[in-house]
Amino acid sequence: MEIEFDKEIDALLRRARTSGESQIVTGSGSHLDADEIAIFAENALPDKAKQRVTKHLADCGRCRTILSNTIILNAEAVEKTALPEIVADEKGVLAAASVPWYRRFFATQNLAYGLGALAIVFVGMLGFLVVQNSLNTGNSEMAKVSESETVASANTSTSLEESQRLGDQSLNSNLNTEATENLNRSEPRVAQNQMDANNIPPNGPQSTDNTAGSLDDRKADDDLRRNRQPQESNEYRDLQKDKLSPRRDQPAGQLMEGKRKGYERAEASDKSASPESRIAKPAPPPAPNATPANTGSGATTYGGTKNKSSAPVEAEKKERESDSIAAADSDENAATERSLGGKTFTRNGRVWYDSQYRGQQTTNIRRGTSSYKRLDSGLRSITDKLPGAVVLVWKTKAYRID
Amino acid sequence: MATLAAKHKTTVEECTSRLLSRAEDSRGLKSPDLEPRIVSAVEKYILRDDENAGHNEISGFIDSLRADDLCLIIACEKGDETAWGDLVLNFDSSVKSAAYKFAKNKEDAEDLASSIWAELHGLKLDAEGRTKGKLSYYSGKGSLAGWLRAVTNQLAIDEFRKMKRIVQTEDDREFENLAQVSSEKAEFRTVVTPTENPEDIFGEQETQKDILASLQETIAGLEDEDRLIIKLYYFDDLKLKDIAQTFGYHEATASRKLVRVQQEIRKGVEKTLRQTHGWNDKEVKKYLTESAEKLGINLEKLFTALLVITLVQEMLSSGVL
Repeated sequence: MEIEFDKEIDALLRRARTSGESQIVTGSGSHLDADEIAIFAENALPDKAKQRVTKHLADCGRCRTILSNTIILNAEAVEKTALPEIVADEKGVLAAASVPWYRRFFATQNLAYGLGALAIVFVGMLGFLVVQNSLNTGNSEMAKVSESETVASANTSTSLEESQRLGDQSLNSNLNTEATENLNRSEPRVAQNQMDANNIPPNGPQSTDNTAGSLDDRKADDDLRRNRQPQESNEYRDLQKDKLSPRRDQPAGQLMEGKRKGYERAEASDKSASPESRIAKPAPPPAPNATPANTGSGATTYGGTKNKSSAPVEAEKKERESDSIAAADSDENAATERSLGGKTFTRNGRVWYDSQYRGQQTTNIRRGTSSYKRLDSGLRSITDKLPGAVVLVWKTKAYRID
Repeated sequence: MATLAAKHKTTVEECTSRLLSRAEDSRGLKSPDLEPRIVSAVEKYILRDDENAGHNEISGFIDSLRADDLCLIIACEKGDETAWGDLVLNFDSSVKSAAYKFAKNKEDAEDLASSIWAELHGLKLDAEGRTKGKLSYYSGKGSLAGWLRAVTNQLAIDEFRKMKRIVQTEDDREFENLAQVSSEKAEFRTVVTPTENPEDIFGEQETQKDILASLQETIAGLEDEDRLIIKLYYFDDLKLKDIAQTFGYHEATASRKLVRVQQEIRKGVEKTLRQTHGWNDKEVKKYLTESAEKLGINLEKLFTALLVITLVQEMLSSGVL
């Protein structure tokens, strides 16, 4: 605490210390006893006794020396016991010991340990932050890479869909073109279709049959391609759908496996199919206005105004059929069990299985082929109502209709 | 209780009973064992300064006595060995810490402490065959530890004064003598003034004497408490904090008191110089400033100056300069 002392008087008083001024002794020569000095040092004397003792001490160097020494020893004893010195000022307000707050702070014995602990905690926090930042950086990079991959895969799938769509469009355009060309062959073909629909075997000479067969095969190829494409597209779409939203009734893995097997069976059936059902290499489509050599009930003609007028109708009909099949496929996709003709079919993937089927060897026949047409109408009516491949038992024989 | 008025007898008896009940360990003492000591304390600290002290003041004084410490001391006086053991066990450290202040080594301190215990115990026997030592001077008003420190100081100062020439080292004596000689010769002058006029030197000495006399007169005219504060601070080198605690106020209050006292001293010195010694205001201001500058040299600086002088003298004698 800075005190604005009178420096001149302060110097004079300090000089007076050595001049013997402090050695004045009271005239009586009596001194205070230790009890009085001790009580005075502790500020415990009654007021009047205190005045008396104060007067003596002010004039007696010896007693004042004892008093000052006693005060110093009492203060040291109090510091040793670490008791706060509480004094009252003239206004009666209690104040704490005059040890400055900064001295108390630095007087803490465990300050070093505390600072060390703080330093360790601080370093630990810094290291944690550094590690966390590095991990976040790595995750962000990985996220970027995964995002790019996702984008690439999305682009790929998008491109695949687009290409398929384009393929569908081109195929449809081709089909339309071929349909138009087929329609130009005129009524006999329509008649043949009608006959086929009525299960009347085609009449006519073999050549006609051959032609018809070749035409039928070509038609069958077209139908198969048409049916396959939607199926494939449907299956592909379903596959994509299953990827995104697996069915509840079947695990996604089983669905995928079923589809894969369906494709494999389809390929295998192509290879193992009977010659009748095997798809013959389609002959190149005839010229739009060409007239076939033989005309019969089963012959088809090309060209003709009559045929021209019915071609767009046929094309529309076939498109409608394909659309209906696609719609039926999409509708049927939801069902897993159906009853048709007294039989119960359970779908496994895209293959409908007859409940009577016990795993025996099947005769694989493709829809639209001559072999298919030679099948019982009842069988064909059932398989026509089921999309995709159908495995059924008809008259103790197992068939697989693709 | 011959000197104690009869009207206070009842008060003393009641308060003594109350004191015994306050004690945690009365050591088997009864009221008659304590009453003489209590009456003595009342007479010493109350009735001596105020013969007309009332019941409240006396009862308040007795109620403020340290019951356990008083019972311990009285039990020791009665020869209770257990009490003596407790006294030495609990307060030997206080005695030794006080002894260390006056002793230069541990052995001297322990010797001093032993002599103090002997003084406390007493070697003489009174009429009743009890040892009469300094324990009888303890009233119980202050703490027993504080009283023991004061007793140790008192005895040590007496011993120190006897042993002063033995305790003081040669170097200390020479230094003290040197300081005294230099102060006698130059008095209030600086040491390095070899070429001053003797008339000027005499004039300065007289000036300083006047100033010192004025200072002494002024200090003597201060209030007792102010005078004590000045002396405790300047002569005994006590801290303002300790002075404030002794008087029962805050350190800031003590500093303000000190500043006020300094101002009073300045006024008193200037007044005395003008009135008693015939100085005018200009002379008072001038010589007080000069005296303060000159008197500001402390012993350490004086010693340093002395070394410089010695070195210069040797250089002169050796012919370097």
